[in-house]
Formats: sequence, C-alpha cells, structure tokens
Amino acid sequence: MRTVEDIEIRFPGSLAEALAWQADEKTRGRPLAGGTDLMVQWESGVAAIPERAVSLWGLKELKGIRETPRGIEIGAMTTHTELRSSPLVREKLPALAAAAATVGGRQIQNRGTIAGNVANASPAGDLAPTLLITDGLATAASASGRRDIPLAKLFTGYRKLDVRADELLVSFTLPALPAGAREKFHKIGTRAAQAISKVMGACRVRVQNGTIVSLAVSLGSVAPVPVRLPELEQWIAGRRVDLNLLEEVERRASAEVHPIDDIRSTATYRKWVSGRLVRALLEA
Amino acid sequence: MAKKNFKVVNQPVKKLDALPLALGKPLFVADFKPADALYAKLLWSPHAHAIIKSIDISAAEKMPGVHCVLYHGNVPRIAHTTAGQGFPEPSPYDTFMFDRKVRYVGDRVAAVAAETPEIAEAAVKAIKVEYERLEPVLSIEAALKEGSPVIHDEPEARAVIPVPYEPKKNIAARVGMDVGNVEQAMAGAPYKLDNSYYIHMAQHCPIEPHVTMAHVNAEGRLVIRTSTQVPFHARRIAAQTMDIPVQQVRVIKPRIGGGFGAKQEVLLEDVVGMLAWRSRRPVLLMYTREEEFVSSRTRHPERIRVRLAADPEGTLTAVGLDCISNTGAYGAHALTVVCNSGSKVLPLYRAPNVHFTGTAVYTNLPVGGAYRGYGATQAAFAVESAVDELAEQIGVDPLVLRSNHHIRSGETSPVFAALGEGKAGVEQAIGSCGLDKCIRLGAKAIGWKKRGDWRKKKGRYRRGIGMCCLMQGSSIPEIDMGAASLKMNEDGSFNLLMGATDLGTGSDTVLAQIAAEAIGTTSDKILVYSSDTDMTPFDVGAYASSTTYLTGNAVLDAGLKIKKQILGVAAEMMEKKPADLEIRDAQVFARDGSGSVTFQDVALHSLYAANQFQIAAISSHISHKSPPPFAAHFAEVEVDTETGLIRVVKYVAATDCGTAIHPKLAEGQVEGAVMNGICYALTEQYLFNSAGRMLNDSFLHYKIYSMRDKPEMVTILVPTYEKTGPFGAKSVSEIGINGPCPAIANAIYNAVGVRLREAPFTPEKIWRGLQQHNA
Repeated sequence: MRTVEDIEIRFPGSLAEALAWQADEKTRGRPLAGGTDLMVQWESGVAAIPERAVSLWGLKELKGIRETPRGIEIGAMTTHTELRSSPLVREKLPALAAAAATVGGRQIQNRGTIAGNVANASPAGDLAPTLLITDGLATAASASGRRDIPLAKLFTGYRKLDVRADELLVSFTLPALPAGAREKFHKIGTRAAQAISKVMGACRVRVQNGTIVSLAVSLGSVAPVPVRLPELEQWIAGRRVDLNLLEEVERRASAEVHPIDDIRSTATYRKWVSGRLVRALLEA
Repeated sequence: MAKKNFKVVNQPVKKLDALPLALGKPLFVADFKPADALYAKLLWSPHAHAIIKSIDISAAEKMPGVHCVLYHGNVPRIAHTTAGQGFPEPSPYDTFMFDRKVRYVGDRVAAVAAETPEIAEAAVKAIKVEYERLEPVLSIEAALKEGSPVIHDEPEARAVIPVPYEPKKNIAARVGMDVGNVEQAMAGAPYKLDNSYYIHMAQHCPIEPHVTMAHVNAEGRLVIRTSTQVPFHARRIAAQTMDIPVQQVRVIKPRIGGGFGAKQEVLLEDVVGMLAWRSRRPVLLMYTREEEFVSSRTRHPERIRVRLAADPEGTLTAVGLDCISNTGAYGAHALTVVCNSGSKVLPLYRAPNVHFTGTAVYTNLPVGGAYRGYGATQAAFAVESAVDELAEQIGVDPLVLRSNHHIRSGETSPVFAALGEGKAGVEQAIGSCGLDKCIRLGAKAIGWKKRGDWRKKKGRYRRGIGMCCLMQGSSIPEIDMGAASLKMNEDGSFNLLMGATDLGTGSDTVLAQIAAEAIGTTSDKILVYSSDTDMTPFDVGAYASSTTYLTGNAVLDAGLKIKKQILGVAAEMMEKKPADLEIRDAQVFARDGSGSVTFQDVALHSLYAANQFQIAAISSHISHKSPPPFAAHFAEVEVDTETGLIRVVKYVAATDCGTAIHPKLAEGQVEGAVMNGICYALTEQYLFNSAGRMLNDSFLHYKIYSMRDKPEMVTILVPTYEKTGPFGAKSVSEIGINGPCPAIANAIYNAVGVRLREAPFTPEKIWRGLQQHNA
C-alpha cells in the first residue's frame, strides 16, 4: 500500500523548469503548494496518492503582492498570513484579508496559500467568495504561454477548475475596492478555529446617498462551486437601503441559493442563514 | 469548617510526573514497544446487524509476515462483559472475544498480528467474510417496537447478578423506585410540568486512543501493558475471556493519555493477549482516532421524561424521572449508567413524592460505556432544565427555587437507600455541603442580578444567563475497595505502591500528598508506583470518582501505621515513650525538647542497628458512604439571532469538593470537565447514515473545542470538610461535566426565549426556535 512517504516530491529551481516538467506527462507531478489540504487528503485516503508531486512552495516568481493598473496582483504562493498582514490587501481588498485571517489556525495560515485554497476547489474554500466579488482574473501559465481566466469562469464544477494539467496558477489580479465602496466577509462555522464553514460569504457594495449603485455578493458552501447571486445583484441596483429593502434582500438571497444537506449542516438551515448572511453583509 | 493546619495537603505541590512528561520521556504504552513486536489490526464489521455466514482466513494466514489470525472459529467462546467493573459485574454477559454475529458497524470480526502495520492491514483486507444482513435497529424507539429484531438472541446472554434482563425485548437493564405517589401529587398541583428531553451520544476523545501491548515472558506468563483505568479488572477479564488462570496474567499500567471512562472498558486486552499467547511474540495494538470513535465506547444517549409539581406556595411536591438509555450493541454499563441518572440527580432536591425508572435498550449502534458524569450528566440536563421551566411557571427566581429545595448537611434522601449499583443502595446522611456558598459566590461572579427577562431584550446579539446545581458521588459505597502499601527506605524516603490508576488526573501526586501529610514528611520523599497487578495491592481502579476519597483513605491509614512504627523505633533510639514524641518535617522530636532524630536515622536504625525490621504497612479501605461533591454552575451566553450561533461568554463553576488535596489539580479537573461539557453541549455529535455507519469519525467533522473557543472561566473551590474523607476530601473529577448542558440551555432561554430540550444546541435548533416565536 502506497503512503505519503512514497510520493516522489520534486523541487523545481524556477517556474520555467516547473512548467517544462508539467508540459510532459512523463515528468508531470501533482502541483503542491503549502500542502495544508493535500497532505490531509492523501493521509486520510480522500485523495489518491500520486506518483509525483511538484513543490511550488519555493518559487520566487510566484511570491509577492503588488499594485498594477489592472488591480492588485497576488502571487500564487502568497500565504494567508501574508494576505492578512499586507497593508495593501487590508486597504484595497479588505474582505480577502478578513477571510485569510479565518482560515484554519495560525500554523495553517503560515503555510496555506491563495492558489492552494483556490485550486483545492472546495465549495467551502474560505477565500473564493472574496475573490469572486472583485470580478478579477486568475492567470495560468504553461510552457507555451500565459492565459487569463475570469474568476467567474474559473470554478467549473465540484472540485473542478478551468485549469489544464500542463498549467499552473501563477497569480491573481483583483481590482481594488473602488472609492466609496466597502467590503465585508462573514463565516459561519462550528467553532472558533480550524472548522470548515457551514456557510460563508462576502460582498462588495457601493452606496451613494442611501442608494445602492452596485453590489457584488458571493457565497460559499451553498452549491458545488462558490457562487455569485446575479439575480439579487441586478435587482438591487438603484434601490434605496432601508429596512424593507433588507428584508427583501434576505428573502431573495435565500431563494436564490440551492444548498444541500451534508455533514456540517442541513440545506434548510443553509438556505435560511444565506439570506441572513447576505442581509448582515449589507448592513453597515 | 475548622481551619486545619495542613502542611502538604491542600497545597499545590509539584506534580510528580510533570517533568518527565514535559520532557517527552518514554512513559506511555507504545513507548515500550520492543523491536521484535508484531503489529495487530482488527477487521471491523461493515454492517450494523448481520450473521457471519462464512469466514475464510486462509489467504491472510498464508501472507508472509503474518503470525496469527483470530476469529470466532479459533478462540474460546466465553460470554463476558467488557465493562471493567467489580465482580460479579452489574453489566450483562453479552460479549465474546469474537462472535458469529455482528451487532454494529465497527463490531469486531477478526484480528491479525503481523511483522509490520502494512502487512497487518493487508492481511485484514485478505480475510473473506460472507454476511447475511439483518434489519438494523437504530434508535431507542425502534428497539422497543413490538416485533423489533432481537439483537442479543444468543443463548449465553445473561445477567450475572439478580437484576431484570430481557434481551428478547432488546432490554439490557431495568431499574426503578417510588416514594409516595407522583401521579397523585401531579393531579392536584397548581404548578406542574411533564416534559421530554433528549441528550446525545459523544466520545471521550482521550488524546491517547486505546493502546495495548502484550508479551509472554520467560516464565510463560502473559504480561499486558495497557492504557487502562482498571488494571485489576483487566487482569481478571482478560484471563476469563482467554480461559487461562488469573495467575498467568500480569497487567501493567504505565502513564495514560487520558481516559474519562473510555478506558474503564476492557476493550483490547483479551484480543492482544490472545495474539501474543498464540504467536509467542510481543504484540502491539493501537487504535486509530476513527477506531476510537466507532469501536471504543460512547456516552449513552438518553430520552428522559421529567415530571415536576409544586404546591400553591411554590414548594416542590413531586419529582418524577423516567430515563431510557441507548446502550448500543452491548450492555456495557447499561444498568449502572441509567441507574446513576436517578441516584446522582434525584437526591439533590427535597420532595415528598419521588418516582424513577431507568431502562437501557440495545440498538445496532456504537456501544455505550462509562463516561465522566456517568448518567448524572444526562439526567442533570433534563432535571435542571425542568427546574428552570417550573420556576418560570411559579414566577420565582430559579436560583431561589433551587436554594429553597436543595439537600443540606445532616439531611438524607430515600434515593440513597433505594438505588445502588445492581443492588439496593446505601443509606447515608449528607456530611459536608457547601452548595449554598457555591450558589452565592457563583451568582456574584456571573452577575446574576443583572439577568433580565428575555422578552425585554433587543438587537441582533442577545445575552442570557443560566444556572444549575449539581451533585455526584465519591466512590461506590460497600462495593469498591482500594488498598495501598508503604515502606520506608534507609534515606527516609518511602515507596508507595497502589493499584489506584493515575490516568493523567494527578492521583499519584494527590495520594503522595496524603501519605506525606499522614507520616509527617514532604511529597517529594514519596516514591509512587502505580499500577501493576504483580507489584501493587488491589484497587478497583479509577472510576466512580473514587480514587482520592477511597484509595486516599487507604493511603492515610497506611501512613498512620508507618508513623506509629517510626515513633516506636525513635522511642527505642531516644529511650522515650512514643507518646512523648512528635513528628515534624521528617524528624522525630521529644516533646520536652531533649532531642530529635531524623527519619533517616530511624530508617538506618530499623534496617541495620538493632531489632531490625522493615517499617512497612498495607491498608485497605471500603467506604460506607459516597459523599457527594456539590456545584453550582453559571453560564452567560450570547446568541446571534441572525445566524443562531451561540457563544459562551463567561462560565462560572463553584465546586464543593471538601478539602482540595491539590487545589491546582482540582481546579484543572473542574476546568477540563467544563470545557468537555461546553463542547458536548454545543458542537459534539455522532452523525449516522441510514445503515448505521458513523459519518463524522474524525476531528475534521467531530468538533471538540480548542483553546481559542474557551470562554472567560471562573473556577471557585468552596472548601468544606468531609469527615469521612482523607483530610476532609471528596471527589472532584466528574461533577463538572454535568453543568454546561443545563446551564447553557437555561442561558439560551434567558437570552432569546427558546427552550431547547434536545442537545446539542446547534445554531439550526436556535433558528427553528426563533421561527416558532415569529410564527
């Protein structure tokens, strides 16, 4: 019986070398970031133990957070600790910073990365909703070039991403919070730390003179993939924020999601709490 | 209480094993694994209820590296109980080392010992089993239904003491008592309630899962090192099950990584012993966490009906309690846990009419067992919730209702005499009772006065305060026995040998303190060895909140005998009468100031000089009482009405455990038990699919609290002096876990007006409750 110890773990010296390995089926390995999801899945038998893994952890090209004209560019191997402590992320992407601070415990935050969290493609991944509300891009690279993928199209199904086997996620480009807008993140779990969410969500909203100009809202753990709520977003634009509106938001948000029963919660509770959550996100 | 002038007890002395534990020295069972040990693995039933039609072990036996394969066809078929209780046990004999029938998902089918864990695992998979599936029984209600499948239809299943046992009806135990007439009292009462509560299954989650190692020594005796709370019962039951004489078995208990009752169960000793016996090689079996959840033991869930009645003045006139417990596939602790639901809860409040029935039913689910609180946890939730509900009906402060009715020093309860463990109980009057002070100090610490009506609370986050009162016992009276032996060494140190079982509780330290105080030395001069069936005197083991109280008395008595011998030798040395001498700080002084000798002088004299003999003593103790510790618990919670999430903001536990022999360890017991109880109340639960398979058998989905979840905690020890206890001590280890369920349920009601009668209190249940309000 093969165990984690039997995996051949390879350490590329550069991104180019990693991409070259991934281009060929014979040298290709399972991309390994911080390992906080994969090591657990391999050890418990949830995921098949691969022949080879390619550790991306040390690649300098995949590190760093910088401001670009398209938005804040975040390297794939940026850790949750770096996200939550970066002044730039805290100012321009506050929901992402807040979500990173709730992932696992401190040790996991030191090791887990943004690309790992996204590539794990769990519907309960904490960061995904905060990325989706920015309408940003993920960038995948292969030996033959780079490709931008709108985040809205990245998650294609339960634990599935629009990323080819020869590609690696290299960065995320996330438009900064526009002037006059605010963001919020909220997570409902079983206990304070190291608990997978029952439901979690984020919103980016711009309100002018008491009227909603635009809303982006996203929820996790309510569908096979993290979702936006387009019907609600469309309906709400131009409406005044008052108690009646919030009640209607709660009703509509709840109606727009179709969660399931699982080990952490029930569909009924999730549907209800989704409405409450979106309402709470919108309340100042 | 008179202030006692203690030197060693009631002091936070250094815990004897603290340093080696902190340094990670080899102290636990698996640390002693010899290089040539085989690894054992068990094959578990994938079905909740099935007959094994055929089993083929030939492929497994032939695998290189496999030394032994056991199954029902090649081991003795001896009905026994794994409950690890005194002999004859109050639990039914309904278990075999391996059986032809499996009764829950996770029941034992076969065992393998092999050179490596991987080979053992592969061999287990190579065993071919053909099952004939039977309809599973997965709830209390299904078990009691007319025509329900019979789980224990084997002819050997029987009770070995005269108690009701009706396996054909899936009933593993029945018990009951009546004083006065609750029905009549209910009929005319202006205030009354008749409510049903449900409290759930949970696991102990010791940091060290069950682990056992055995080898056959040069003399051909079986030596079992095991993570057990009951070394002597383990020796007896392993010998019984393997069908070998007790004298062939030696059980050694090293350091233990927690037990909480799960390790009262004699769970692995028989099969590991048999594998070693057959293979003549050392064998090690370590449970995984998944196995610990499914194939170890759990808290018995109970469905509980409470009836309360009060007269026009608000005086309690009747308390009725009907408990049905789910013992799972086997009847381990079936009778005694449900019996304790009555005996450790009902005496707390005075009422002229008292009614109790306890029924334990078999189901095809994981097996119930001893778990800290032991039935009292279950019933305290129901009764203490009901008391709050009745107080609201009467219109009285629930604290006042409790204060007006709780048992006091000098009083007795008919329940004590009526309910024992498998026989009538023992009548006792309460000696020490500090409950009034617990209530007073606890109320002050939580801010009881600021507690308002939930109907007046507004906003998203609403806070509430709840309380409860608790009692437990200290040992099982006239059943349990603990013994200790002490001998003096030539440097004035002492060996203290006990069967009492320190499982991380600190009992070695506590008992050393008692010995030191009795003799007149310091605890660092006491060299403790526990427990080893070849070396140490008998002790029933660590359960029923007994060690400090019961074994402590044996140690105290042995210490006093030693003291007398020391005085005798010193008298001879100093040419005085013993009555003219006194002991202070490991020295013997003449009262007239004419001289002194040290303990070392005495020891050297007794061993080398004249009239030599070994200064030594052995004492045994049985108790005729089980003095209850008392506690008042207070919880402040914050309920998020948006999500139903509950946060415990502050928790106050005020406990009367008599004299706290080691105050720090006593506080640790209270705080550990409270944390244990809080996550039991809020997050822990077993989830099963429709075939009876546990879905969340790991810490990923079975959530116990981490330090980050810990609320502000106030721990108050209220000193009293229990005359029958060693230096005034009573028990402290179990009582604390009984509080969080009722205190939090009452606090939730006080916050948002939602009365939760089914634990655990998940956000979803709060939400459903809030929905009903709005409807």
